[in-house]
Amino acid sequence: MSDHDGSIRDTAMERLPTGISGLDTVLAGGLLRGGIYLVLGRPGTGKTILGNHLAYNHARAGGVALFATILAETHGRMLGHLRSFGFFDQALVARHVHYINVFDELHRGGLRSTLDLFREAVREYRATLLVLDGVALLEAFASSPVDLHLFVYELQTHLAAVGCTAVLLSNDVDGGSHPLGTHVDGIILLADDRVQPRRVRHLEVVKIRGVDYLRGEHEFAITSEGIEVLPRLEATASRTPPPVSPPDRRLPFGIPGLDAMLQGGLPAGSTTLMIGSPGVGKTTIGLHFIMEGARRGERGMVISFHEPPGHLLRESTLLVQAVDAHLREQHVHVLWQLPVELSADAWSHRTLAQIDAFRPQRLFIDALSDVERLVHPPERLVPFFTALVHELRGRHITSILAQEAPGLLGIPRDTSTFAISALVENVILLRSVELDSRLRRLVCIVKCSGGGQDPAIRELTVRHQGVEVASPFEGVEALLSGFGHASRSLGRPQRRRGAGP
Amino acid sequence: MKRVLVVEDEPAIRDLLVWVLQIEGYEVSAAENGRRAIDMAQHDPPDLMLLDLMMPGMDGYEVLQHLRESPRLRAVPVVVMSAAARPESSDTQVKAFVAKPFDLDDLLGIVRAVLAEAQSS
Repeated sequence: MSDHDGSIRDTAMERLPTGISGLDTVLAGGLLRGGIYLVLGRPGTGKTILGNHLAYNHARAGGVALFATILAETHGRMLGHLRSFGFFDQALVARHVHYINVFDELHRGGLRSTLDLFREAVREYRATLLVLDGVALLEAFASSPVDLHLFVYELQTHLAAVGCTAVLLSNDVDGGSHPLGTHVDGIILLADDRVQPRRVRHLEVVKIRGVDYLRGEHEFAITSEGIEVLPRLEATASRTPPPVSPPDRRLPFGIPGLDAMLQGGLPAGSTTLMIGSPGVGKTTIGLHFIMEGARRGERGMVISFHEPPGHLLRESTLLVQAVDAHLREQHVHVLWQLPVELSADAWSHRTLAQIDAFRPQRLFIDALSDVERLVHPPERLVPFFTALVHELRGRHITSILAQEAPGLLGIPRDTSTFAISALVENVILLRSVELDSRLRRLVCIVKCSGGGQDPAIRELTVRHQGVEVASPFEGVEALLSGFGHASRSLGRPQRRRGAGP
Repeated sequence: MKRVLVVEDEPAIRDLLVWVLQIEGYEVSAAENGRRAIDMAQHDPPDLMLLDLMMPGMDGYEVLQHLRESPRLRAVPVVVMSAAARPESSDTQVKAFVAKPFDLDDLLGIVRAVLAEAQSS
């Protein structure tokens, strides 16, 4: 053989990142260069926006995109709609993003002639991405079923040879199957489903050759920036074991009685479920934890659903003001999201992004019960929280997850609390109890990593200046039932003031 | 105008090569198997043969043997194409090897270079 030998193109491995948020994660890196992909979805599911977002990202990355339409909206109208999206760039139009309409050629010469048109156009523009919108219409012009298959086969052969990737958009949805499914390198299914009473967009990769893609449905949104894919947290959670913290490192609450119950505080890097009825003091205790961290120079983040930052800090004025304003500003970040029209995946993506940006050492989520209501379907609850807890551990964050317990008194009996309790290292129970015709609060440590926690049930007092944990209740029993009474063997209950065991 | 004979059993690839070589200004004929390729070449020797090695019936290796044994055809330069590994060969009639999947620009460059070399010699 001579010096003229051609180079070996490893096109099978060359990936073309889409640049669309979350989509490359689902596709495990992007599309295969020279591959041909089918995007299926009913009208209104976002195919045209996805095709254009791909085209403009590709052009911005140095490629040339050719967007071919058949009988959809005119290019002028399409561009008019696209101008509102962040991915759109007028400067790229007719330079690196070209629009052609192939209806006339298809109508006049059929599939054969249209294939030649594509070959010439790809060659003329030196296109490296072809998006064809309206594949379902090609079938109408095929003189036999084999014609369409032959068209795609020949198109695929040509595009592979010139290193041009193709994305074909079609309304023809039949549960993800399509007559051309066997020819193409991948099938992406778009859907817009009702999740009472909202509608939620989903994307599912039905097939991708040669790639370990993220299977299952993933939520996506059409925002002002374009398409944003939110891969399921369970699918993307790290599979590596979390780091191991020094066993004797503890992060205190700054509440002497509570810290003593925990042998100095929460184990570093651990996750704690703090279960309590409404108004028992979960938010105040959580803020104590964060403010104590700020006092020590540790960054802390509060994830709040019901109380915006201003309200949250106003409610705990004395507690908050005890921390120097400068320290607060440097070390405390409050992320507030109204828990309506919000999905678990959208919440987790935003939250983890903010966590990665702020890098807190302490985290307080108020409350996990709000996150539970976002998880759909309910079967996802345990896998979702398993992934969330693992992600927090992997970031070595010492986290408190407040969980609202139904009912004012008694032991919480809802199954989700039990299920989540099993996922965390520590469980703190806060309850109200009726005693001597008064409503009192109690705290007990149900479990703590490493053991050695104080088993006593102690009275909890929440004041404006903070929280106090007193000595254990003595001479009373059945406190956790919500209705304490004197121990039968000891007579009337007695309580001593003062902190410490 | 230089004449190129494309010998390729896969219709889509054959069709693509014919189309792109014609656009490049070559006079192109095509054969879908080795037997047909020999018959066409004997009738009208091409300036260059683009030969797929793996074909049913008479494969590319047998075609090369026939070319070597034919006084009329042994001077026709051949560019072989294959998805298999580059074969070891001391056959001087084979001027270049193109691996599949090929890059069209690469392939056209090789065709140009081989034809230019043949013309100058």
